[in-house]
Amino acid sequence: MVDISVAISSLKIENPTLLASGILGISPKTFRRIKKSGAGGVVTKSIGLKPNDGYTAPTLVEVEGGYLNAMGLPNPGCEAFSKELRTADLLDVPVVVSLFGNSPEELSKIMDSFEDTPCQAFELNLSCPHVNNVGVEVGSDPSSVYELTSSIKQKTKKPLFVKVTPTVPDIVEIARAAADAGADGITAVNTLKGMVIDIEVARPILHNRFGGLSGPAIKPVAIRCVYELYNSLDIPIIGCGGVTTWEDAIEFFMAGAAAVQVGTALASRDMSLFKDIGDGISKYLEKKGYDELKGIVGIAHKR
Amino acid sequence: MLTNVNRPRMREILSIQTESSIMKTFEFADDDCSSAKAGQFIMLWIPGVDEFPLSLSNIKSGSVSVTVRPWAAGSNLLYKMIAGDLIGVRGPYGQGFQPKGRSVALVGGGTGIAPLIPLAESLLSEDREVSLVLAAKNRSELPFLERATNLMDIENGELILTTDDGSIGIKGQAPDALRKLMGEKEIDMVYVCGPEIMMQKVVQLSIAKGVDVQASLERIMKCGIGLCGSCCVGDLVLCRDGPVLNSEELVEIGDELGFLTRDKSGRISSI
Repeated sequence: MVDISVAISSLKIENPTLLASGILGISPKTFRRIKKSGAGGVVTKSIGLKPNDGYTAPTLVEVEGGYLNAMGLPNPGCEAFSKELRTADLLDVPVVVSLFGNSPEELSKIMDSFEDTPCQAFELNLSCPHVNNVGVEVGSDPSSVYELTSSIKQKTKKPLFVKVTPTVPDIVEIARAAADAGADGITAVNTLKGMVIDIEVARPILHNRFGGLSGPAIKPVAIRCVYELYNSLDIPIIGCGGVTTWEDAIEFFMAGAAAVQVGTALASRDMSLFKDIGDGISKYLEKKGYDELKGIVGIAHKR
Repeated sequence: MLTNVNRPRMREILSIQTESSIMKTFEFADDDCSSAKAGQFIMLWIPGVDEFPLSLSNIKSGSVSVTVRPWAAGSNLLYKMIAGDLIGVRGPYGQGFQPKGRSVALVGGGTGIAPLIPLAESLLSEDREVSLVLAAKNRSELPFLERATNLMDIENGELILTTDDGSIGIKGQAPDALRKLMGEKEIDMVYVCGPEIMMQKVVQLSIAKGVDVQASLERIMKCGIGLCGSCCVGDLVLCRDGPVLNSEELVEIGDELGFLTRDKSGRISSI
């Protein structure tokens, strides 16, 4: 088997698949199970300063090619969650803590609470499409992205990734602002804002009305984003959006991703999906004569 | 091909029956639900109000039902609905009860009795010996009395009632009734659904006596399909791995069963 371990900045993972933020991501015992099932590591749910119940249900509905969700960033808050991480047995489980907040002060406080936990890296969520003032509005403005990223980058020695939205005219401009501010990687992409209406009762199904679209339907958008970013950035890109099979993962690597995140696919598959993707990648590389994953990263840019 | 199965199907309420002083049963027709296993659950959408998990209290071809106690915005509104009103249904989801054993005990408390009635029906139809223990605070809160009485009026069935105040059946609690039953019969399988402290006692009693046990747990469920993680117990995702857990799983989560749960934010809190 070809070695498929990768390093994203200083985050070392045995397998280039991470659990995507927002999926499971709340119970450390589940993190261990996900890692055991073949994932390289996990990204937690996005954690804020205070506990947040999230939106009233329905928070999720299936659509053609994926799901629309408006969970509303439910999370235990940084104090309770960091305490749970601190006491959990997470040795050998690379944990990336996803963060959201609307000011450098707020984000710094959240990060501080994770300094002495098994958290190995941070992912700044600047792209949630269904919560006001902390997500996509901030993440669509390059100067806000620069300001938030640079101010919190100074507060930690752990690698900092920034998760970006695909719903901007120029994703490169946003990601470059994060990179210039010191980000150690870019996660591309978050969900796309959408809506579903039930025609029997004539109202949107999601209680929040709007939600974020994930799953196979957004994969071509995500692949395009990764491809554009790879051309313009010197920091690693973590691909996210519709990865369901090892073939999807290979496509992301060829576009320029150093690793991929998997989320929505777990609705129709059990956690062994991670091992299947890893094995598939390894076999593909062997068959094509590569001795490491790096060999195919960005290969689709050759013309 | 329509792939969006995890989307509410709008169904008309066909009939409503008062089940106890605090519970009502709502009947509707849905083919997917008609093929559910006892112990599986659905996500019920009350348009504009809320969506929440419920187990099926009746599973027949042609129609099914849920039995509800009003306790939050969604169930409060459902409680006031009338025949002809529309509810959204998705599912059935999760792992139901696994039929096992020759002489089985079903122990239900309050709303937790709901999934045990269709389970009793299917176990009786497989010619197993079934003892059904129904527990409630008092006579007026005891649901399914008529249905259970008719159902268990059969050679291989026994109905045992127990209430906190003794207003019907044995005065006491469900675990005590089970202990007594285990002294009288060679019970080789226990199924339980009800308040978690009661389930914890029943699970401990069963395991101590070396009897196989399955319990249907309750946690906050938002997505119902294993994505959001709000229902995690131990390393299990209850909406997918449960809601019915087997002996091994129940032992595995022993440090949480009856002690810990998570609130809507995901914070751990004591039960």
